[in-house]
Amino acid sequence: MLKVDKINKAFTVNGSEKNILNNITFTIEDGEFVCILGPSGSGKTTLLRCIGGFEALTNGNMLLDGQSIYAPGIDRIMVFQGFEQLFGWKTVEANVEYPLKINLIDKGNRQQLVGKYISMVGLENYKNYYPHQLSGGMKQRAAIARALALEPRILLMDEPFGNLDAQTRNSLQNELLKIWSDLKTTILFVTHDIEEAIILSDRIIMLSTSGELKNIIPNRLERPRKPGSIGFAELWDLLYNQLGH
Amino acid sequence: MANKSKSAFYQKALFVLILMLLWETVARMKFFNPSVFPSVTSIIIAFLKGVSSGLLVEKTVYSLYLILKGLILSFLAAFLLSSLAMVFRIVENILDILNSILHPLPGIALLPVAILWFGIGEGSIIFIIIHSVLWPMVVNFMTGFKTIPRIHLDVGENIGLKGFHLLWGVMLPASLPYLLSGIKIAWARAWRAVIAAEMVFGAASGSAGGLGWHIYMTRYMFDMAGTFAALLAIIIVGILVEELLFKNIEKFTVIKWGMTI
Amino acid sequence: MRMKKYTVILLVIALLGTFVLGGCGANNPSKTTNKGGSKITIALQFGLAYAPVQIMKEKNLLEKYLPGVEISWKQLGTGPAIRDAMVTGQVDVGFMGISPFLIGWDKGAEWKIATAAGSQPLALVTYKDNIKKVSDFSSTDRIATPAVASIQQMLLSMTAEKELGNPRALDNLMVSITHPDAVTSLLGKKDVTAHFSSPPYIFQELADQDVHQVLNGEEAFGGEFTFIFGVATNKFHDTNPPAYAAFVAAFNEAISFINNNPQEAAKILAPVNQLSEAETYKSLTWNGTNYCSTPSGIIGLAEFMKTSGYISKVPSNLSEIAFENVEAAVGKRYGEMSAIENLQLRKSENNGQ
Repeated sequence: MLKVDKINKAFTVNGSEKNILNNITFTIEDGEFVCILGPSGSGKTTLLRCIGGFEALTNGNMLLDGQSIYAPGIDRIMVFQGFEQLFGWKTVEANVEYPLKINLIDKGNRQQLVGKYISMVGLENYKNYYPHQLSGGMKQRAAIARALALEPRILLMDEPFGNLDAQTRNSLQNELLKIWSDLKTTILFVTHDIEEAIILSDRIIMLSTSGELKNIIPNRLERPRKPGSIGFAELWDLLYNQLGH
Repeated sequence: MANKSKSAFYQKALFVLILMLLWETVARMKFFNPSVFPSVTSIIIAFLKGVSSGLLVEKTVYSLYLILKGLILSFLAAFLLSSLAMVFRIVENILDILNSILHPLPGIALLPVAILWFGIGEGSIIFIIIHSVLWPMVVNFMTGFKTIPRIHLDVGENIGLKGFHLLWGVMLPASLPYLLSGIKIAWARAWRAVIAAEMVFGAASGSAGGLGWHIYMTRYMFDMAGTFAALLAIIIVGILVEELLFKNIEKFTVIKWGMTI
Repeated sequence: MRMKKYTVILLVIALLGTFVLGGCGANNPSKTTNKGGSKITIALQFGLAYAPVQIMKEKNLLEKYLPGVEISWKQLGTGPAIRDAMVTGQVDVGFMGISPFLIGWDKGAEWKIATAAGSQPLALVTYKDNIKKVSDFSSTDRIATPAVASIQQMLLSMTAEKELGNPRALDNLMVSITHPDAVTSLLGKKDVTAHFSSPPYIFQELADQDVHQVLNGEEAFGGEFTFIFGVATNKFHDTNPPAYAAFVAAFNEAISFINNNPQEAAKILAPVNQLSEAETYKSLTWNGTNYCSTPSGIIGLAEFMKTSGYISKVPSNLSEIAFENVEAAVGKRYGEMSAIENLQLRKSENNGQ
């Protein structure tokens, strides 16, 4: 349902043009969980931002359900890296409700959606808290709830667990997987962490340092996946080598 | 938490009390001429007289009225200009150069200009207030807008906010800490401006004038106790506004949200 | 607990301090500048009303009468500013209008008049054609005077009393702005309809063909009056007689010089007052200008200030507000008052003199 066709993205750095994304083509199917994996500087975030409509393409085009996408929209909601994506002046509940409000969803439906997704991320007891009162993990869960409440076609996630400690990251990965299997939503997830990519994805899109599409590797390991599960180590080695080490 | 603020209050009150005792001592020692350095008791008497006769109250209210008028106009202008500057580069550049030229000028220096454009009445006083207050407000508002995390704006655009709605729904609350800071600075500056301007224009508007005029008059009449009583009125208003208004606004916004600067 | 101990200690110290220091401090003489003839501080304001002081300074006349004296000249902006400086012992002789002097005297300032400086012709001018006398002013007109309780404001009140029956009748029309700002406003023909002016400002105003004079100061007062005085602190006068005498002599010489050599005086005074020599000469010789060290009209002014509520008492005789040289210049005639004594009073219809 998402088709990315020969896209290029160049930035002007210190007067000269640098090509961040080089001729990238792939498709994403409904309900897939796809990870974008690559070394730092490979343009993973830029790719996601282009799909989100936050950056303009230099060349190529993208289609969602057959329609061209070039600007931000509520059909592709992004969960950003870092802890500042929630609005500090709203409670968790208000943060989740706000996008629904401005998209003119009526009160009854709003309350139902807000309740559903806040429960889904396990924050019912914290819905009246302000972001500054939450831990890092809780903030990201709230951001996920907010993203899901609009029930977008595709959820774009830019290393959302990157700033968390290993334990929190693990539990959030599991929660995310549960949500994904319950909702059957489509997720495009950027990470530099090989382990994370293996645990989460159906497919792994590999980017090279020069911003090219290196490879797309299917991940058919049985869920739930843990380091030590059958096939985990082999896939890990494969991805590690692909990353150019 | 309550204990800390209670002991803070007592410490502050104690300090003020000691200051007053020292003042009274120096005054009674006649170290300075009492006509020029009145005792605390004579100041308090003058203050109470002024309040009970309504004179001090009337003058304070008038000065406050001028300040409010100036502040509101400045706020609107500053907000409008800062918003436009965020959108149009040329506005930002113009504002920048205007700020460099005008901000260093003390309001009182522009008096002759004020008289020419606004005559000798209230208009000139408001002009001087606005001049003293506008530039720090603009600087604060601009900083507030510029320090909004990029990610907030991305989220806003993502969920469908654009233009005015983005300004109102995201940028305004996100920059509130700086807006409030700008307003607090403006409030203090407005007082200085109004007192200085009233000393010049005071009775020109035909009304009884404000505190600045009162200070001028008491000084002329060699009534230093009266002058200090007027200063006391200013201090009291300042403390009231700070404690009752600003602190509460902050409590229910930036402090509650954990967004203090 | 610890706080309480500190609190108590601090309070005790503070209270002790109040008692001990309050008891032992008598009138602590602050910075005196007048010990034994070596240093005098003189304060003046800006303008040709202070011409004799300016001549004194430019021609070093004081040094002539008191060789080796160290003079500190201070130029201040207002009468009250000079008054504050004198009351705190920083200035020995200050030049100011009658109002700051009498208000200070009324509140117990220990000073007296050492000399009169003279009178400048004051005149009420307006650009409005239809205003020929004070009763022609309407409630929307505005009359500019330099300060509250200034001589100009008092003259307006006197006129209001005479022609409108109520000294406060023009109160709401009066606005306080400096002479330069008043000239700008008047010629701009916006808010300010009239200005109680004097040279050199009045030259600019009268140059405009719409502007004409409504009345002058002496008409308003009902006679001559001095309104700028040289005031000396009692301390200076009492502890430094040679310096005081030298001051009086030098000042008189300055006045004499101006009156006998207006052209030369204009040359010296022009740069000090930031005027051209021609304008300065014109001001010095304008009809009504009188540099004179003997006062006139001061009892009349004092009485008016009392009825207007600016002061609470009138001096019962000259010695209360003036030093011996001034008293001597006015004299004391047994039987009917002398002409000069009479000159201190105000001639209204009631006096009939």
